[in-house]
Amino acid sequence: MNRTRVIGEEAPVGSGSTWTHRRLLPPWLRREPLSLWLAAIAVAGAAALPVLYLVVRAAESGESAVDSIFDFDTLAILWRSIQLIVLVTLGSVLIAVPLAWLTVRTDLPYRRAWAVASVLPLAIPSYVGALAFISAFGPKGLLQGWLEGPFGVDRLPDLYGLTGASVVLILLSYPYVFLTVRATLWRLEPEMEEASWTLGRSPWQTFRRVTLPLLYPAIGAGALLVALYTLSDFGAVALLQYDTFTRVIFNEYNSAFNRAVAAALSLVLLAVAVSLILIEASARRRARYYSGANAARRRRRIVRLGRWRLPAFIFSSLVTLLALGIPVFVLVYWLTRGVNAGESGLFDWGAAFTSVQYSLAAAVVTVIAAIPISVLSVRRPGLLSTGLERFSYVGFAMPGIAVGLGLVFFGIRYATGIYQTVYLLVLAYVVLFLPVAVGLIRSSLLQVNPRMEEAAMSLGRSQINAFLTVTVPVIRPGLAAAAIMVFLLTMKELPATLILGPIESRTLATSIWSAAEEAFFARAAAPSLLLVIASAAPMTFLVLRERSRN
Amino acid sequence: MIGLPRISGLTGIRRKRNESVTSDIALRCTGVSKTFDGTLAVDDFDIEVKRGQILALVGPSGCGKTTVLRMIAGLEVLDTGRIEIGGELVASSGRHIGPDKRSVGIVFQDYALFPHMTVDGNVGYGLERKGKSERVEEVLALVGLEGLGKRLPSELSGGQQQRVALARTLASKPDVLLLDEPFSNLDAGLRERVRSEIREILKEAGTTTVFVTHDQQEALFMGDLVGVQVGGRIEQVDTPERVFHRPATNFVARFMGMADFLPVDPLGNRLVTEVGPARAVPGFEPPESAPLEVMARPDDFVLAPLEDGQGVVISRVFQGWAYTYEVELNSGLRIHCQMPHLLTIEVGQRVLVNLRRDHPQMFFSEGHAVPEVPRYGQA
Repeated sequence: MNRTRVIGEEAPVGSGSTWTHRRLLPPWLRREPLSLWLAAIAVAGAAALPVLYLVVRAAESGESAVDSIFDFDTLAILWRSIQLIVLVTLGSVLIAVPLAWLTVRTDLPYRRAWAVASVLPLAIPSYVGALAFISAFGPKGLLQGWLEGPFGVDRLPDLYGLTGASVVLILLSYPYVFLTVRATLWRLEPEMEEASWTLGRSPWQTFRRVTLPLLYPAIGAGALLVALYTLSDFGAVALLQYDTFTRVIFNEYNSAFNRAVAAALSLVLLAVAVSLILIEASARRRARYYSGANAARRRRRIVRLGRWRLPAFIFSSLVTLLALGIPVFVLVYWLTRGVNAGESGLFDWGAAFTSVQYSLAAAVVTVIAAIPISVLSVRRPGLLSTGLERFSYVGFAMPGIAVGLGLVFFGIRYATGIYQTVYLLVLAYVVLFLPVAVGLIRSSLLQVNPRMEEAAMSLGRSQINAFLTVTVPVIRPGLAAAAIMVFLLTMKELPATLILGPIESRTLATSIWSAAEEAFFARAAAPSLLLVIASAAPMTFLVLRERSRN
Repeated sequence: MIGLPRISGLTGIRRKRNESVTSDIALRCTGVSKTFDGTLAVDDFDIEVKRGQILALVGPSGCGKTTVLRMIAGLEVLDTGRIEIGGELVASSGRHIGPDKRSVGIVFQDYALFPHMTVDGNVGYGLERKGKSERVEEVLALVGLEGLGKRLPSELSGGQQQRVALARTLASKPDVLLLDEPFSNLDAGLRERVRSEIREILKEAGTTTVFVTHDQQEALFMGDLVGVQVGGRIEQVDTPERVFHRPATNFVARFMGMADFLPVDPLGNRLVTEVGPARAVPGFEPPESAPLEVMARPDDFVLAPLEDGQGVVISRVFQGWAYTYEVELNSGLRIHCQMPHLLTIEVGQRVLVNLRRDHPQMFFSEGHAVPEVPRYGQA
């Protein structure tokens, strides 16, 4: 799953949020120890580092950076990025909304299986997805090979560029919309629709005038995640040769060594991401809907599809076949071919080991770093804590490539000791995935009644002891979920790892990347499958858990 | 569906009534049953409501009241029985007219207002375009919400939201209006005011109403008729006064207000209980062999402190205007007595207990009133 997923969801409002709001008190008069505030400030400061150094680097190069921003090239890149974002977002919504509705509200055959299968494309890193599509549909790909014999086809429609990039990204990112819409469909009170029926409206009118408008906020939140994912994606656009910000920035940095331009473009990229977030936030403010607290209380009516059952089934099958079936098939195909041909070095255990090490370190550090900010923003809502929480969300808006570059500049200038070591790399992961951890930990903290800790303190425990013995056990599932998510996201992360990884170190992601660049499909297959399976397992678990809750 | 003539936007009347079918019965349920996953939720349910009447269905939670309401609305499909609205059969086994095609409006417990529409949008939702704004204004005036049409539901208080939900339902002039625990989301102070307002609105609109509640006081206040439901069955339907004073069964007596039952020994023409003789209506004939009990409400007893009285006070609850005492009689039976606050009796004090003789009591045998009270009283 992408690091952006959790932020778009509404945090459940538990009793904790109604706790005292002494906004005006300075922090040292509040009950939380000063050390907690200092820790939170340090973490927020670290999260702000990459932005800061991008600004510094761009400013130092003076007019050339400003020139490069207003250069025609930048506008062209922006235009290409916007085209891609619009296409991918629209496509995702068009696939995800009907699919979500079908799997929640109708008698679609095997709808539980489809519910799981429709989320799993999130487990496929974009560079793996793109690789699989190139190998299947590209020039000299599998499909063309099969068609050549019997039909003499020697050319397929061009896959590269906007078409290929948008198709691949739609298929990999529609689950964001699917998840948010599905969650809202479960939460919607059946009484809303029943009221509409008893007022004389047909099921279709009810869907159009009541259900769909109530889904707009969820669609918006999901669409934002898709748009940010598209904007920050590096792997798919790079492999499919579509010049968006990330690809141009990487080339400027990597090949042309034009670092001022790379920094300036990264800032523009960041600005675009922030505008996307602001657009969605203002749309959400206009549509602040009441969400039912006691939904799913009653059994809901299942819509009988009747003669639409078969078309609906074909639609669901087609989506899963394209988004999940083809990548997995292609990977397995190349792996077996490689094994049969006796290729060596198909299983890069060293890279797998390095990946696991980095990811474990990132998971532990990120979760620990997220705790102070989460605790303060839940228990002490106020100007300072909210400000700190906002800072932790830098990684939400900032593509991996921009975080990576920012830290490169910081490392070269001020921290040569840790530059190109694992420490700076882990810092990048922390900045990138802090929002995910804060989001998950915050929402589990919101479920904890702060009176429990007060009860523990009235029974003679110190504050820290009360937190450790009462609150931590209750939020343990949230902490575990945060650690797992950060682990998985780190395993898949590509651009920051490419830029900041210690020289000579190989992770699964970077070894897939170098194999893909050389179109060495067989060598990319095994690590790709490993990544997909490792991400798919916990995701299946999460979806099944949601199902049993409902 | 909206284009069909059954909805006339201007008048808001959904269906042209067939005069020959029209009777003064607005709603009739006959032998309606419904099973959920093997559990009988509604069992052989019968009811008749005349035009303009308010029926309050009251019963403990889980007695199937809401299921009855949802079957009348067409939101649940019945297993057996018949439902007729305005003389037209809308549901029987094998026939189910959808909720959008019945002239029934329902107000849900949590109102189910459409949060993305203004008050005007909500109230006009079920109306045709022609004449819509006039009708919306008219109904908003009826419920006392003039001038709030442009607000969103989230900008209204709980009581106002309630009235919007009512207005939305009344707008299309349904033959039958259903209210599902409509006051349970309001706080206690507001509740009493809102319910009398709503009763006035319903009476003014002349709307036939079925109203579901678990609160006896609410049922007695709101209903022209009170139906007591238990275990999916109607136990008794009658006027509020008769349901309270002449309960057909033990259950109704206990459910509608605190009631104790004392064994009776018929001795010649005297009906002797542990707390003295009980008075019956003239011509009362006790059953030949079956055991007989007298029902007594807390205000039917008189207590006096007395050292060799036949009971002892085991608890006392102060209610301001009165005390309610729990008294254990020598037989071990416990009864509840209400006495004015002028007299305070300590816990542990022995007391003399007598039944008031200024009005006749109700008698029961094997759970049913003697003489028998009809389950369906005067409708």
